[in-house]
Amino acid sequence: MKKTNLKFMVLAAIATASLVSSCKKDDPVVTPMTMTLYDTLGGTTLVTDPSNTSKMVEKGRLAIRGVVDSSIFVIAANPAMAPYFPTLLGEVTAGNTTGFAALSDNFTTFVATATGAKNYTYTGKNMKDAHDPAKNPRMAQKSTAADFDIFVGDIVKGAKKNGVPDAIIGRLGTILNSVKDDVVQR
Amino acid sequence: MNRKKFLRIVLVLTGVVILLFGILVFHIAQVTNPKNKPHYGIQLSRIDFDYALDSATAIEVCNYIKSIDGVGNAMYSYEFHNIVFSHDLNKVKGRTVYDALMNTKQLDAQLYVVNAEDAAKNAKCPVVNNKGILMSLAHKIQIYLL
Repeated sequence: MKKTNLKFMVLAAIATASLVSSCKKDDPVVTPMTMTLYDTLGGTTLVTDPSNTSKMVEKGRLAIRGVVDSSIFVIAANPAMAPYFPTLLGEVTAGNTTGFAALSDNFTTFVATATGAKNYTYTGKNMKDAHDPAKNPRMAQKSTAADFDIFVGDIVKGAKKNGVPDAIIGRLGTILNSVKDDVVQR
Repeated sequence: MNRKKFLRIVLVLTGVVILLFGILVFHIAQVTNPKNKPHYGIQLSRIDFDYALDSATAIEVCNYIKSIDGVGNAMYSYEFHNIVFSHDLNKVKGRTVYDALMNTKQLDAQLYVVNAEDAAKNAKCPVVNNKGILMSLAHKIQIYLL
């Protein structure tokens, strides 16, 4: 009987000790990780940049750039978008950055930042000022809701051409539509 | 602290500041150099057709355009009856591609040219703040160092 009691006491002591030690105040609180859209697209894993094989690029950014580039092709084909993006198809003087290269780079950074990228920073104007011709002389005209919807539609077409799953396109659409009120100004 | 020691410290600190500034300038030069950006020298051009192409012709025309040296990708839009293609400006101009296509295939089409009014807007991207301090510093570095 004594032996059983002793065994019980030892087991109880071990259990109490393990409970106490596992609940120390200074233990880090474990919170479940939430995947950003950027993580879903490949995140910060570095891969070789197919457009410049001597450089590495984050997989998430590369995926977004693929969608952006496909979308730019769709936008360039759409006459309704021509007034907003004249340098996409315009003449470029040698040595200057082309409209395609500039838009691809800037829009990729914007979307990457909006989807959760940590290693890139969007340093451009806020969406309201950027789309206000009074504050941004390079904005030819105020955009309409209809043109904004066409733009988003073109992005979706570009994403589909790139084989992006519908679920991810939906999340991307939510992000784009979140700035609609700032972009549409007439 | 004697004068000699003080001067040595000032000298070392000045050297460190100059070195750090040099590293910053080099870093900005590397980061903002357009040659280090993806798609350097790549531009788009568009050929508008007077009528809809059937899928076989569209594929044939796209393949022909893509076979031209300097052309990257080509995409036919069934909605707008046009082809958008990317090309390396250091190798081939959009006009050259269009002329080659017209000389090879019997098609009624025009090369899209941005009108002067739109071209004057120079709207590279409406969201970029080119007047910021960083952008102007990067621009100066591009001019004087590269």
